[in-house]
Amino acid sequence: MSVPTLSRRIFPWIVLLPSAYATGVMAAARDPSAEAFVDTTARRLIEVLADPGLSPAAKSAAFRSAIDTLADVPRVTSFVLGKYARLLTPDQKRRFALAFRGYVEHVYRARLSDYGGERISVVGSIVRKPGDVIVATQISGGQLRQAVPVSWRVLRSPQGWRLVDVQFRGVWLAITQQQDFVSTIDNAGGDAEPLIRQLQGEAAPASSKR
Amino acid sequence: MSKMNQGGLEVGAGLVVLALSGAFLAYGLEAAGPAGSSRGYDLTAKFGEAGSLAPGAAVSVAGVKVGTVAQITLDPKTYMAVARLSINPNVKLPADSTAKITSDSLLGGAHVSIAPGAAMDDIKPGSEIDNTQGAVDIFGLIGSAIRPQAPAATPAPSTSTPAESD
Amino acid sequence: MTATQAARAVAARPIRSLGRSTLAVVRTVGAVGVFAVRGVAAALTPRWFPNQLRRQLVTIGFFSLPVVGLTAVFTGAALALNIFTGGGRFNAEQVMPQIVALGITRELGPVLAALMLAGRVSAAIAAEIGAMRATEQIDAMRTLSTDPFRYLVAPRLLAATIMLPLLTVVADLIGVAGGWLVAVRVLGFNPIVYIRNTAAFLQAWDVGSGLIKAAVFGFIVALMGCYHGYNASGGARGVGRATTHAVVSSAILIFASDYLLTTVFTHAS
Repeated sequence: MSVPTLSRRIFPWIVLLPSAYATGVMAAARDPSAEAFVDTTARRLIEVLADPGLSPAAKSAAFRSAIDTLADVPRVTSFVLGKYARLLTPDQKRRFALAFRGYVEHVYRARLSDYGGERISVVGSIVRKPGDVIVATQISGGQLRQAVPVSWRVLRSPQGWRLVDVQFRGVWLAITQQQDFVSTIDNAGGDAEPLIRQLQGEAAPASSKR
Repeated sequence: MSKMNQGGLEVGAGLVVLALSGAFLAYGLEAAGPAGSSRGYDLTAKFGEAGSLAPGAAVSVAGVKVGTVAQITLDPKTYMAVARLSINPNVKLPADSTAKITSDSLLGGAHVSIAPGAAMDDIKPGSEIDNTQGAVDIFGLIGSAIRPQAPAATPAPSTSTPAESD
Repeated sequence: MTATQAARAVAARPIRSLGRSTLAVVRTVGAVGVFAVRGVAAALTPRWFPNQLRRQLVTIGFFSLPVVGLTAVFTGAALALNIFTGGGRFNAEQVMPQIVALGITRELGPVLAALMLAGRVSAAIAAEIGAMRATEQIDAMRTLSTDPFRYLVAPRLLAATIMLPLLTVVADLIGVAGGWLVAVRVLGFNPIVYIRNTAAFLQAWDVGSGLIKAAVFGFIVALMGCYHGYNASGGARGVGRATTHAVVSSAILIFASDYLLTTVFTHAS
């Protein structure tokens, strides 16, 4: 059985047990501090989303500042450029970083308004190597009929754990984004400008187009 | 005289058949044995899902074959699929490259595709590729897109899909 | 004769001929059985004729390689294409290598090699021994106190029983190679993955049961050739008839014993 299947079958039951027991059975290689980080992060973000007193604009702003502290944004921005990360000029990198940021926030803006009370719970973790952990969580409740497993890859940095990728239905999103961006630049003959323009177009302000 | 020639021809034909079957047997034994050649350096990559990847499958960069999958084992602690890749010694990969399990067609032909990163230094022989994407259930993804869990996405508040996705 | 007597004689004709043919069949079975026992006894007890045995091993074994190789490679290739087509109807094309290997090692390798040998070796033995019978060389042999069963029949029985399994090994290899060639060149399979899947799937018993079948078939081929040749009568035409009978009866017995053995082996594994 693969890890996601294992998680889906067995971990939900472990969640019911006292957390002290969780270190016994399946957890030969878990990292409690990484799990705690994801748990805390999830709680913070849900607090923001569920707060009825905040306007959508305020929620977006709160989300944006949360992302900066919780995710390793420079690393992810560099990663999604793949082999082109060092081939862009500093000016292009700056504009790309802004366009990518805007593009990601545009995607979140649509999702934030969807929030219907879903909850995230940490169900386990896998240590790929020390300082590189995949935390497995489940998102359930709200509008979901079935719990959805989502995994988070976190790397330890001097400032603490930082999020670098998300896995949904077996697909790592930053890796997929890298494939998308690199092939776009490849098809433009190595020119990153069309990609930057596309990302800026996607994140056209005040538009809920997807 | 012609009978002798025919005899020689028969002997030759028999030898050819023996030689061909011997050659195929040798090739088969070599192919079926522990995969990977003596030259080439090893890299490991841990995947969450190996899918139908099998030893002997190709490892490619930008569609060009640069190595083979030598071995696939299960990590007993993390339950991840650990693939040992035997890479052509002339090919160097940046340290932040990504290894993905993809397939030739929808129905099979799983192999490993490596997307190079932009790091200055190369992966050292024997070390691990950190960024990996395991085999993906294409039909499951298509199914979940065609029949999402809740009503289909509309611009109105009653949109579908989980709270966290990109 | 009275009218009733004449009527009774006419009515009895079909029954008489049925009885006659039944007795003939039983007699033939018995004759073949006795011949087989004599041949096996001659093969397993001294005195042997090693030179004869060597000649037969080469003639039956080595010189049959080309025809067995050709048969196997085309059969393997055609089988691969057909199994691929069939597998495609279940979206299971990827399982073709295993099925082709199983079919060749358990069934097609031994049976087709035996059939090729039936046509080639059984006919040649029947012709050779039949000609010796027609030119009274067998009688001459007896007067020189050389047992024709030890000199003629035993070496051929031993050679065929030993050689056909070896030929089947070659047929198996070349048959799988034929399937592999078609798969890699025409159907786009990965050559190394094909071999690994085949090797992982095949069990020793698949190949072993094929070899046991081959030994039985080899015995049948040589036996039929020797029996019909030894009992040829009527000069040159008789030799021709003996050749034909040898090939046909070999083929029929091969198929019949193949079914019996396959049934036994299927229940045994």
